[in-house]
Amino acid sequence: MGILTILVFLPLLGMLAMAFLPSRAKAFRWIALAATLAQAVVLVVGVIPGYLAGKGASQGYFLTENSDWIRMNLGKMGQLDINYQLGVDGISILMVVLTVIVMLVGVISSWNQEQRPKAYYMLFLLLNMSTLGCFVALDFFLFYLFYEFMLLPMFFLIGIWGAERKEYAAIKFFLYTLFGSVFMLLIMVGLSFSFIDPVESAELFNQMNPSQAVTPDMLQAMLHSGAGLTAEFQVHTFSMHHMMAGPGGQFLNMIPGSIFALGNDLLGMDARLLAFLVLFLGFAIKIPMVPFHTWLPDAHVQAPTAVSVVLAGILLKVGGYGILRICYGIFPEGGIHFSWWIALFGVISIIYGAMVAMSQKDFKSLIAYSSISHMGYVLLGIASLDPAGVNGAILQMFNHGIVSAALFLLVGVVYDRTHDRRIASYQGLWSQMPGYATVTLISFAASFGLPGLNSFVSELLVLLGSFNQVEMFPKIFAALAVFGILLSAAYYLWTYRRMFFGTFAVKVEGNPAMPDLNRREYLMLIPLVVMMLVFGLLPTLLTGMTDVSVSDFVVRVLEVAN
Amino acid sequence: MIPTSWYIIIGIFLFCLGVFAVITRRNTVIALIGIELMLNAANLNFVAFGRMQVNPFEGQMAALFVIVLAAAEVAVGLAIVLNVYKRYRTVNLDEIDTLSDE
Amino acid sequence: MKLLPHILQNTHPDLMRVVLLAMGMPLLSFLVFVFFGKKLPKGRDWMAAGLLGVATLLSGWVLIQFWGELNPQDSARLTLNWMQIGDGSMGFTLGLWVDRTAALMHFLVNLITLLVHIFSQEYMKGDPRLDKYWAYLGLFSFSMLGIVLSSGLLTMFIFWELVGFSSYLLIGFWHQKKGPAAASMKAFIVNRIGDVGFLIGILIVLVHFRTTEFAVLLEAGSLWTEPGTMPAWLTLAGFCLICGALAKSAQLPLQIWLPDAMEGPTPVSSLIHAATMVAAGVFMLFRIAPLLSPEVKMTLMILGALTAFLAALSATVQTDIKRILAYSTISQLGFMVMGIAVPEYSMFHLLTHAFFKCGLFLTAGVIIHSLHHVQHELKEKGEALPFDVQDIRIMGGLRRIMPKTFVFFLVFGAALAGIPLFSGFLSKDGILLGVWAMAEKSGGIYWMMPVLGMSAALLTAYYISRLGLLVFFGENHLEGKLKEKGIEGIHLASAPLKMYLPMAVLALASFWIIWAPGSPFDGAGSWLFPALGENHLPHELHLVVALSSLVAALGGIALAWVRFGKNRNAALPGGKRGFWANLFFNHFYLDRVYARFIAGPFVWFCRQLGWFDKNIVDGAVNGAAWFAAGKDRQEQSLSGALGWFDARIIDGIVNRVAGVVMRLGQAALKVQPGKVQLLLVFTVAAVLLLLLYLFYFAAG
Repeated sequence: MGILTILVFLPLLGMLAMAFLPSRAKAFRWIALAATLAQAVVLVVGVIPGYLAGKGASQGYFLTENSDWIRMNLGKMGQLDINYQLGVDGISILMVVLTVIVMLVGVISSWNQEQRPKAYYMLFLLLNMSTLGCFVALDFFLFYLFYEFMLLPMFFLIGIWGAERKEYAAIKFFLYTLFGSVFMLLIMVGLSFSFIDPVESAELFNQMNPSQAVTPDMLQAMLHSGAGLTAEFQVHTFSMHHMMAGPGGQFLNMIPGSIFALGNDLLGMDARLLAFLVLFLGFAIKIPMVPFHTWLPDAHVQAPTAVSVVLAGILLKVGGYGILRICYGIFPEGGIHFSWWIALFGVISIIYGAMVAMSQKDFKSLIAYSSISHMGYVLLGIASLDPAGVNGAILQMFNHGIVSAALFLLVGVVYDRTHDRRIASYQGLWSQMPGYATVTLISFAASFGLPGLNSFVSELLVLLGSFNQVEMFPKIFAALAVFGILLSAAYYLWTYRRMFFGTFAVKVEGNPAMPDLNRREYLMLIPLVVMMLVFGLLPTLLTGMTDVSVSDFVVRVLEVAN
Repeated sequence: MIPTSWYIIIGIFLFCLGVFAVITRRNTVIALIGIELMLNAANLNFVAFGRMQVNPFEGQMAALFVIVLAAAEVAVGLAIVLNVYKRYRTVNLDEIDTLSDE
Repeated sequence: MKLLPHILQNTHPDLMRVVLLAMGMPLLSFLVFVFFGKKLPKGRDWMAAGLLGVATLLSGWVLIQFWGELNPQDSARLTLNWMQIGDGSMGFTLGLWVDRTAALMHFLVNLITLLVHIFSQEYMKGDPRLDKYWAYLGLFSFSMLGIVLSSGLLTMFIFWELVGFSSYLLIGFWHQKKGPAAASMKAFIVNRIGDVGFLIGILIVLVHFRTTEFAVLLEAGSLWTEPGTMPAWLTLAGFCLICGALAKSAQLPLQIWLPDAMEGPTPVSSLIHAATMVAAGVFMLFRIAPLLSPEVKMTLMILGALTAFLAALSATVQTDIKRILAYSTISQLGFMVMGIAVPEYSMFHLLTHAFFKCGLFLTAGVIIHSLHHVQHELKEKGEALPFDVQDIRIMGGLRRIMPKTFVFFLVFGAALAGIPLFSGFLSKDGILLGVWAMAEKSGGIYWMMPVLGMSAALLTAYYISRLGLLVFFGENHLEGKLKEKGIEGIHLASAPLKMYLPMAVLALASFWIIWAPGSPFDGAGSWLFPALGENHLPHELHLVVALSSLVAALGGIALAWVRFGKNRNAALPGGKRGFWANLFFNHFYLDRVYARFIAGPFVWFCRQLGWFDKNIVDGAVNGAAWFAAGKDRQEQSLSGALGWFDARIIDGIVNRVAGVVMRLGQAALKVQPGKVQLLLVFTVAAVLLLLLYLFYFAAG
């Protein structure tokens, strides 16, 4: 069993343990903590050193695991091959790290969950497993499975443990994301019928024709020869790296004339462009991109703190990751074709999200809109297809994960004390809760891109990438995006002034006590603040992990274009 | 050797019986039994057709799979029936109509 | 995979070690006070000052090395590879670059911060959050040191923002009060506006040069010395970069934050206005001057001249002692920015100005401090006599009460007014000479600069004399008021000696002797040249300019004397301000114009956008979802959405379509009585129909 399998399925072990306990037991949170801590240990001891030391086993993926999972004989149509295939590369490793960090913080922040703890923690661990799975799956089918699996626990976590309008928010979240992923299924099946696994196909071929000994390379050549490869010998694959272009920008495993072959038309437009768009839409909802963002504020505002943390910290990143790995990875020419639009919508998200954030009266929805704004940089960075831009996009996802987790925790801190999220209800918190004020100021500063803190690095890289590219989109987009840093400073400082400056007053019924952060709250916030500082000062810690893969990735994508 | 068609006829008969039970009987447990009947009809067909193949185990494998599934399904179904009974104090399908919107 | 940044270049390791140590002292002060501030023993105030003292000594040593031991052109560089992206052609390098100018600024910043530390010990005595105050001061001076020592634009930008952030903390130090809260936010956001430009400029530079290291940039910049050869993108980058300087150095049109920044503690104001923060903009312009195209320089000069003049006008009518000085700072910075034509003199003026302006603020601080005492004592006695401690209209006659302060004021004021033998004369003269020479050469609009500059010089002398006359001459209005009320036993007291010590140092540096001991009437003879830059100024003009600026200064003083020498009540309350005075007092209503026409509409627009997002964008989604669901008025989960939907979007096409769908849905309801078995019947029927179809149609 590989280290990634252990990492992904550790939460399942925790769930199993919980399942055998009566629902009145007190130990659930300890089990959840143990499972996530164990993950952290596996990550630090196994995954990261393994990644750093490892040599790419296949096409630049590290710590790969590959075993046959489902093999179906389709008779005349060949065979269908689904593999259990895991691995990490520079694009996903940071997401894996982020997931483990945020999940750990999430468990600590839901420490006082009194309402149905058994179900809560089980769903939480399930969410943990499925998001991690998403980031390490290299087989499209497996990815899809994990991707869909994320919805289920999220739906219940919002719908049962949320605030006043939780059902509405949960259903909205569910329908929205489901809408995005239904089409993914269609594209996925279509893709698998358009690509073969050369190794398995060669094996099959040799089995049927014992007289010949065909190597995978010969088989690929056969596939593209005039006669083609007989359908019976085609082993259709779901493996993502078989669907990606090989060196030189050639799709060696693509079956000529199949549905997603180059140049095939579907519904009056290029099938591959259409597929790109449809997949992109699904991920753009997740990221979320304006105008498909409206589920996010609702989901955030209604979700309990820990779920908001996970939602902003990780789930949004699945969108960005998917765009990179799947949309741009499998349909590079679509990516280049639509870069202009993606960048435009990225910029719109940045500016629009920030401006709407400015008008929010609810602390939590302010942070939610700021997330929309900051995830716009991810789109912009990806669209630039420049090593700096793409690196920046990945770093931005990571950094935003850390910062937004902290921000939602901070909202949770006051919400726990007063059950009121309105900004106008608070005033002069600095005098009453200096520790809280300090942590909030640092997190705000990190979020609006103060140099020395992490977001600055990623935003700088994204902006640099979008200034550096020449063909993808006009540079005025990049110049406009710079205004995002001004707007975010404006709404954060304005909020800070309203809530933290002045004489202390809390305009909430019942005059709740407002003690400063307690030990548990410090425990979850301080590591995040430290990370903001460390990754802001030493960005090489992150870029060192991503850079090589990203550069390869960019080169590969651009090769296809030429 | 018994011709395959006989098996199929029995299968059809069993299946119809199942459908009939599910549709007409008011008692939820009987309806569940009807479902079981349908599943077993399918099983019979699997095995029967499997017999015609070179490798008969494929059909038998499917049948085994169905049996396992059926067991799980019965467990879940009965649990639901129990919960329904607890809540509505009846297992009469006609009286349990909260899916309706009126 | 390299996970840590590594050193690319370190030319003078030993020297650099000292520089780093000096730079680390304020940072250490910050860290110690942040983490252990409350636990430190009583002598902690001296610890902060002591750390700064060590830093000052170290930087003094560095200064001596550079100006004594090393060659004028030598510079020490430490470059760090911060990140590596892609093929590594893009240089994300951070680093320190110490040359003579940087060493000078380094020493200056440390020295002035040290003086302000000592002054603050008295001024801030008894403040419950004193530990935080020392911490913020440490961070502030650390970031400022970073700016002056940075080796490239990227490094500079990082420290640049940190200066902005720590000034946010310092200006908003008394966070319970309304004023500081607003002022700190304003300062940061206005600075950020400039930073947007700065960042765009950096990105353009980085994309084209693949690096932001000054050494490389300046070498490249020397390629385009011929007029008209500079590429368009570099001009564009220049325009972007100067935005940062305009904001940080409080120049038109972004100067509005500086007067409000007075809300911070007075020592902080003196620090912000003297060697740090506002100096950063001018320093940055000095560094990148060779990269600026003539158009950019022209823009800078016009803006600088206008700022110098307009701010001086505003300073003439203010009644708040710190506001007068704030506008004075803006005006003086205008001189420096205007002097970008002769960057070495800008730098010179920056240095001299740092001392006398810091001194002026400390003078104001002494006065405010003693008035605070009075206020405090009144409060303890339970007497109600509200007054504003910064209002010059309650001062007056302080010459008698605080003679020492008066003497210091005379020195600093003379330096500001540009009286010969004082430092301000030397540097201001150089700038005026520079723009005059340029005007003679180019003519036309270039004459605007010397004209506005001379007028500003006159106004400078006028407002500082007015300040002196109103504050130090005549009789004390506060004592008069106290007498009126019959309150006894309360007197304005002179300040403790500790406050005068820093002022003495500053006063010494306000005489010519420090700057140009050999030539008291000509800045060109200063020992700073030619290290700051080659001096090309025509000597023959010097006499004309020096005389005119002297005339302007004396004229200003005379004007003030005529106006306030006898009739000191001219600026007292009750006397209504006329149109012009009002205009100047409110600084041309710039604040209000921005609030009314930019900030206000912007926030309004954001609100509209918020409404739009909630009701239109989200409304469309909810509408769509509702079509899809097409039913369920009673269903709990959607009731919120539906109620909302009904309430908000009653009209419109959306709803009409929705109505149709709803009716369809209700029709569908009829066949769906909720009976499980009926559903099954439908299913079976459907399957049978499908089979029939398959058998009879599809098969046939």
